[in-house]
Amino acid sequence: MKTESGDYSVRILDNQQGVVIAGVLRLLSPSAYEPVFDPIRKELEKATGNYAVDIADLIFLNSSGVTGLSRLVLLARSHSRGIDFIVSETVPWQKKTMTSLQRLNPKVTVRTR
Amino acid sequence: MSNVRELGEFTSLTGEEPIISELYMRFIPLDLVAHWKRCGMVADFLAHFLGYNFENKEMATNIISTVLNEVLENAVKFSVDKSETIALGLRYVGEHIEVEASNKTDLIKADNLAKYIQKLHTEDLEDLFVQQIEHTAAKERTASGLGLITLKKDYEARVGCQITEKAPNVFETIVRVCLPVEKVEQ
Repeated sequence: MKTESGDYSVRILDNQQGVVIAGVLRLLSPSAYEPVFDPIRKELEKATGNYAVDIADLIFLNSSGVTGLSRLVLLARSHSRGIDFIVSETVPWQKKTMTSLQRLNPKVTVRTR
Repeated sequence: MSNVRELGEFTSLTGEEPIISELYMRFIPLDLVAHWKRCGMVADFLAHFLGYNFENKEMATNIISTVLNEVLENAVKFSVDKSETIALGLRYVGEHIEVEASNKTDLIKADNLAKYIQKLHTEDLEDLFVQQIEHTAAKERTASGLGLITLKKDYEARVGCQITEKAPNVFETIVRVCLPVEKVEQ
């Protein structure tokens, strides 16, 4: 399943393998992210282990989007699971922000692609 | 003047050194709310303009755009009268890049900004980041409250504000974020 706009794409991989989010996500508010992230929430709830979220090609994510991603981290925590974030070394905010999310859920991992 | 408050690290670090780059823009907040993508367009434009000054242009542009976008989005969101002009400024002097935005707001929002800036300077930033996420998760809000925490935590930015009472329940706020150039060139 793939959701696309001119600025971003959200590609959900089959069999709860994970999701690839790419482009630029700078939506108005945390609630504006719900329609974008809801399909990910559904997959995350079906997953049996950690769920992979690949943001290595996500160039920008505003702070409302960080709240959106953090809600996925909290959802995973409520199921005693984590999220494996895949980030890029060349996009400065990614590793910094995702590492901070580990404090919300110790099962979160961050690795570079 | 008793009707002016400065909180956090508002004092400019630019001193007497010559200005290398400077840009100011004014907007009608409603114009940006109607087409939210314009905030990012403006941030990217200014960041690309300044990015030419740095060796690693791609990384510098990404960081500067991130800062500009957060500061501009806040100015739009916290403008009470969306038809009142807001301003966004970018200045590169010496070893610092300053981004500032001004907007008009009401007493409640001005006081909330003051408390928020004070928290940035008294609490552990990683703790504050987590607290803010848990707080926002519990209740829907128009803003995440994470923007300035992130800029201070991840880029060691100095963050401050000036709040001036202009009329009963009308306050002008100026938020200033000062980024060390070494963080842009890392």
